[in-house]
Amino acid sequence: MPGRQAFVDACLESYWSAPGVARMKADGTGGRWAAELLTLAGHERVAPLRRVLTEVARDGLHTLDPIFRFQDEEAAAIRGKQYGQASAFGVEQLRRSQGVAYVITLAAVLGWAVSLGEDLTAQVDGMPDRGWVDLPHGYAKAALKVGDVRGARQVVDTAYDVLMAARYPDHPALVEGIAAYRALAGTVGRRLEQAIDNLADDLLRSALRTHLLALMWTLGFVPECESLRRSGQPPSRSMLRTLIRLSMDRIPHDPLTQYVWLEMKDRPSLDLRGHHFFHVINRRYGQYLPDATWPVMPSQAYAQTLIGWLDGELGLDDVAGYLDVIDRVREFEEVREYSPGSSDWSVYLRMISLAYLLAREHDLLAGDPSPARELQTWRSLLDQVTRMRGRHHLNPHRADLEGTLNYPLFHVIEQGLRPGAGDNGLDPAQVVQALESYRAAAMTFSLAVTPPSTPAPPGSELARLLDTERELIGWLKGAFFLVNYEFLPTHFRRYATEAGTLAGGAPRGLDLETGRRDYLEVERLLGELYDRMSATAGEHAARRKDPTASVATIAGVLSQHTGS
Amino acid sequence: MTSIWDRYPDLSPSELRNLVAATAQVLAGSADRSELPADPIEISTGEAARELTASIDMLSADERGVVQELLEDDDTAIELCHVVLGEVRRHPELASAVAQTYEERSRKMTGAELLLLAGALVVLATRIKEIRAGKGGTKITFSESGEVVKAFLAGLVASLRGLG
Repeated sequence: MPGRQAFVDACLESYWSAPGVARMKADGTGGRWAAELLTLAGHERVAPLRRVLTEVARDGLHTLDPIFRFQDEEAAAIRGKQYGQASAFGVEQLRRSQGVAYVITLAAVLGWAVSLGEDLTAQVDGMPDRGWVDLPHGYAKAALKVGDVRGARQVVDTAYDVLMAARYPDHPALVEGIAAYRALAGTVGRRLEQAIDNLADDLLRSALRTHLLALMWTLGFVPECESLRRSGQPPSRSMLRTLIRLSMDRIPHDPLTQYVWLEMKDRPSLDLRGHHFFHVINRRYGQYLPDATWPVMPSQAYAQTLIGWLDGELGLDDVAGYLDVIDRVREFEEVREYSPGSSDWSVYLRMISLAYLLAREHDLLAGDPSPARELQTWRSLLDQVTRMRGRHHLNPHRADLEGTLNYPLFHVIEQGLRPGAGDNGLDPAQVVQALESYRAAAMTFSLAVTPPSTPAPPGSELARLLDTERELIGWLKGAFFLVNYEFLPTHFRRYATEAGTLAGGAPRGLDLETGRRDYLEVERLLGELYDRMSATAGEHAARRKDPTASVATIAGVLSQHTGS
Repeated sequence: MTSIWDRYPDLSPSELRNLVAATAQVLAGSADRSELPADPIEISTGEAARELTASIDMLSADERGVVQELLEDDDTAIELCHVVLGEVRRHPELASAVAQTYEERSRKMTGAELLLLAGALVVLATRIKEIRAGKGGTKITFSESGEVVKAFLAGLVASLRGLG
């Protein structure tokens, strides 16, 4: 559940990013909206907001100062009902003037949010504040009219989440509100699809093919990127839609994706600034500390080097420059965990993968450059990737990895399974086993909680051990729930406060760190259990310790298929 | 047998989206393809706005953003669709072909239309001069209807200047 500040920021996103608001700013105090607002500010239904509305009209929306002053000086003294009346009045103005409706509903929702303070999302007697039914809805409707799709989505999602967290969501006071937010969420979803279509079409029209290939490479569509690189074709519209959708989700955590987009920012063949997502692309997130503190921004160096390589225009000096940056990136990786930023290991992996690739192409690899040695390097990276994937379910606070770890996988397949690979001392069976480990790593939790059915005589030692396993798996599920607890929709926490209160004392830590600690502890206990099981149920224990299929099993299954 | 037109304009949002899609399909399939953009049904609102500002004299290229917003906004997109559908209804053979396509789409597992294809519909209605509809391929002059749609769109754009 986003806090009050996140909700306020979502409401204010329209001020920075909505095309309609940009036009209002351009019209300024001379705009019809400003004149209309001055007139309507005198209406009794917006009387408590009169001063701020007048100030906004006289300022022509050039700054947010009137809104901030209102929040600091007046908002707390205005009652929720008055905010509700003002917002309803604002919504009524949508047919007359979208600009006026936008300003009134914005002032109302922000004032209301500030007036509730830290209790904004609190539930009193199992019910949220009455304002959640109308105020965010009215604002989101107006924000959509002026073109703020992403901000509106966040506001709608938050409001829906708050209403659904009520202990009595079928209370008559909430039912209509919940239905209205569902309908508005549908509208927002359609608008987002249109925004994605529009950007995809403009990307197709642009002359930025290599930038788009760089985006594919960065997001893990490595085989697809290679195929288009060889054919000279641009990505399809459907692929572009996927790239846009993934990018917008990942950018707040992924500086590499962001910098590839930023390289498209001021290109004549693409008006990126005219798109809904520009604000997402152009914002500072502080994902990766070196980008903010080093003279050369590693993420920018990555983006420019990758695009240059895909363009076939990268010289030896460019490569050497990039490898210098990578030396420092490698050092930073040792301390990244302790530095601010939301980026994950995939950033390092992609940067270093590009460095290996360029070093090989320019004969700059140190030591033995044989195919076997090269495969060993990629295998080593793939093993790390497998470990990271196997732990990603304990990182619900991070963006989905999607395909960002794919690059070593691509190389291992290309080099280890190509015809004649065995002649170079490469063992295809080892490669297949590595691929199977990679596949299984994505299902670590599912495999851990799904033991095979092993019969055991009642009262036997094995039956007792299997009972212990069942119990530990129950704990593991509980720990996994704790890991995800803070990131689940609010209604999962509907009864949490009372449970803690009734138990007396401080509620147990229902947070990520507690969940992870518990998870790893139960995992350790399961490991010990399987060691003890080895004597009585060797096969069961072995499958639990290593749930991957063997090469022989895979070959056996594949051999059941006959070609036609 | 009842037709979708018997209930028009009292349609659910889903029925309206499907009727618009069926109408766009009929218009795109009955007109001279050389008059139309490459993939008129799949056209995005941005491309549709570019087409419309380029082809309608009453609009300027600067107004592309406003036209795009009109095509994306639920209320104005529905208004625009109703203007086109109203014009389609004036031509019985065309309306009948649309109703038939609507029924066929309803019977097939095509899935409900999630987007209101307002951009596609308005581009088709303003670009097509002549249509051959019905089993006999009756020739229908659609250019006058196109002018009605153009005038309506230009009026909407004018009403939005300065967000007034």
